Amino acid sequence: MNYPFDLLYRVKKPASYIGNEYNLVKKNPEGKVKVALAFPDTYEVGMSNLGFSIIYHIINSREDALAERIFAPWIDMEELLRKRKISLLTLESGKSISEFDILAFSVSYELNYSNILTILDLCGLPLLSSQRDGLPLVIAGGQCTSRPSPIIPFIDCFAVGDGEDIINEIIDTFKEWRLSSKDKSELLIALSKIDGVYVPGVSKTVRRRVIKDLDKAPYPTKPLVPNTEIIHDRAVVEIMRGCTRGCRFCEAGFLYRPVRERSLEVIKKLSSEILKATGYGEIGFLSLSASDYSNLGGLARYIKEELIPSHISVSIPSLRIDTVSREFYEAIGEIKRGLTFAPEAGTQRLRDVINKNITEEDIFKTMEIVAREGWETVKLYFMIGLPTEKDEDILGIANLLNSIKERYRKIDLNVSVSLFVPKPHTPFQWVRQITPKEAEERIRLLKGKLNRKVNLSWHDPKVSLLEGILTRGDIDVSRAIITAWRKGARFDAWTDRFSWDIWEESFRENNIDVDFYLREKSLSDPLPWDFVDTGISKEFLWNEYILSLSGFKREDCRKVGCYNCGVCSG
Amino acid sequence: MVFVRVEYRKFGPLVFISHLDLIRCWERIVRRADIGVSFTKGFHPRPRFSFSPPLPVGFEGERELLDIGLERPCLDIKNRINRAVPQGIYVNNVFFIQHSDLGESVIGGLYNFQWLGGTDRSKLEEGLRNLGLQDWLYTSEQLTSVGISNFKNSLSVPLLFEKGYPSPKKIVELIDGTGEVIWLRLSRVQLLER
Ligand code: SF4
Repeated sequence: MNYPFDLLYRVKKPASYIGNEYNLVKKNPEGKVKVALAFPDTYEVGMSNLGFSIIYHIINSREDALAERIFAPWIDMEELLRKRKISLLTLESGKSISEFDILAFSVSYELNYSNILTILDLCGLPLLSSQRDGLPLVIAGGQCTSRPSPIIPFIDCFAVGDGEDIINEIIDTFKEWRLSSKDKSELLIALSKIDGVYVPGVSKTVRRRVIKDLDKAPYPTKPLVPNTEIIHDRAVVEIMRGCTRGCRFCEAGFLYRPVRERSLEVIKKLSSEILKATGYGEIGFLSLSASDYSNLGGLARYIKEELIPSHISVSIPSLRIDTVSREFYEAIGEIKRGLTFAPEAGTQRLRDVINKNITEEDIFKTMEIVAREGWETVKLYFMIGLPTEKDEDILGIANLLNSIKERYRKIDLNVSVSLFVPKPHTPFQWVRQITPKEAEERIRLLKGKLNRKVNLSWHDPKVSLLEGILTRGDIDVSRAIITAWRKGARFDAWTDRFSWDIWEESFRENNIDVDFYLREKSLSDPLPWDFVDTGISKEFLWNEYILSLSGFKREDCRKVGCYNCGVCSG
Repeated sequence: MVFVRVEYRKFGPLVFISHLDLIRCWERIVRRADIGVSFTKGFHPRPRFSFSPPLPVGFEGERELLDIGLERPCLDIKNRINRAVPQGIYVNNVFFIQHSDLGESVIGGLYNFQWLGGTDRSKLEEGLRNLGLQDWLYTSEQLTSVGISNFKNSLSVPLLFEKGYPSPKKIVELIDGTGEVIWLRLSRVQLLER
């Protein structure tokens, strides 16, 4: 515990600030490159992020470096820190940022942008890179760095793509620089030479870094065991990275190509080491689409023969139960707790447009399993505002759900509807995002036709509006982020904290035309993320987009062969 | 099945975790310690535990109790556990017992409150009187034990887990109402058994 003791008696969630997790190693800082790893959301969210945990592990496995953690303090804690003039302190040694060489943000969600500013400010650093000279160097990695324009003014250097190798190269470069120079601009130039690093003002473009072999990639086998419950409170083994099913709306599907699998041998080894080192009673096998893992049968056997007998429960978040053997899902507790699946759209036509390869038959097959096994609830996900969407497609959601409900009266259907945000680096990056008003109309239409016994919930369309602007925005948007933060924007991803009024005012005061970022774009329009090369060619994305409009489907390249998206050739 | 009764301390950073967090924490400790625990059946198997009544968040526990059901009892349980604990839990004693009856036998706890600052004593005395606890406020004493040359206030109260008894949190509120409290130490010194 590094903050004055009585402070923690006065906050709602004191356990978020105590650190001291099992497996924590405190390193002697002498002579090391000292990195403060910051996650711009709560402890509970940040500690559940695999990328964050991997980077923490890699840095701390080096003899010549150390990493300590910082999370965004909740509002009550921030107030107390400001009142007492205490700066943010790392969880490990309770030091302030002035003792560190590098401040590294893990940014995986746009709605965390305001919290980046909170952390910079509470660390006593100016918000703008241009106003910070000397150390610490402020870097950022994570999903958002593939479209970083709105946060470019706050960050000295971005890491794009898989971070495993980049972080080591950044530390090596830093070490070398420190021996010979004190001039930060020289450091930035040296960093810009690293593959996958983008230095604003120095680099022109950046190519996403991809690690080739998951089996050889470092993986945390002694992860920290939090003392308080976090969002994903279990052991985690990533079984596969990337997905080539080609759902056209899915950012992760394009950002993490190509598919790389971890071999069953290595999965087993990691699992048993992690379980032993942590004492977790549950393990999650992580991937974007577990049903596509080649050795699913082997994994099932491992679960059944080794994990279940040692009283370990298992979850496989992205598994489609209509694709696996009965034996398999019988062994998995996750399903019992609540099966989720995502048809995304209500008609086959629209599912073809977005290339979501679920048919009505698949949906009913899933429901059949649910009914047969006696499970009580199912959660279904849909999106509205998809390209070419018409009233029929909205009514299609209602029809589909109504007929499921009619046939399976006893099963609770929980339906979650979100507003589609067309994401950069996907075939839909040129598409217009619908307005909250249109979204509300479509939800009303859906509600009107939907069987009352189906539980419908939807995301606040204004949150999606902000997400759209921050995802698709250019560097001008950064000014509005600062204004919104000054007006009190914090934790925008948390519904009880989100205030569209603050953001609307901030966009207005900075003369930012929100509609400009949400409208349809043409092939010749420059896009704010054009300088990031994910490996997938723009030509491919555009052709996918045009084909999608007429409902041409695209099969998984792992099944039908390469169609040259570009990723594997580069 | 046989049980082991574990007497442990909860202190330091872990005073801020909730009872539910503590349960999860112990689940992991016993799995790491590998002491032959008996598990519940089903999709989410849990070790068989029975805890003494929850400590309020913020309180140290100087002698807390936990009964653990064992499938295959091993001999060096205490050492095994103490090698597997996070900082903030420490086991002092373990006893094998035949039946776990923590639920019925523990009826209350002796709570201790120490603080610096908060000068309005009469307000506190009045509050305590209203709760029927006026006799337990101790005179200020020198904080030599912790090396601070200042005055600390101290209050030790037995509180039962029955209806009608004030919760320890209630007393912390009273203390807080006496002015700016700059240092606090709260603990359950002892469990009161039938
Ligand atoms: S380059 Fe070919 S094989 Fe590689 S991900 Fe793209 S389509 Fe699939």
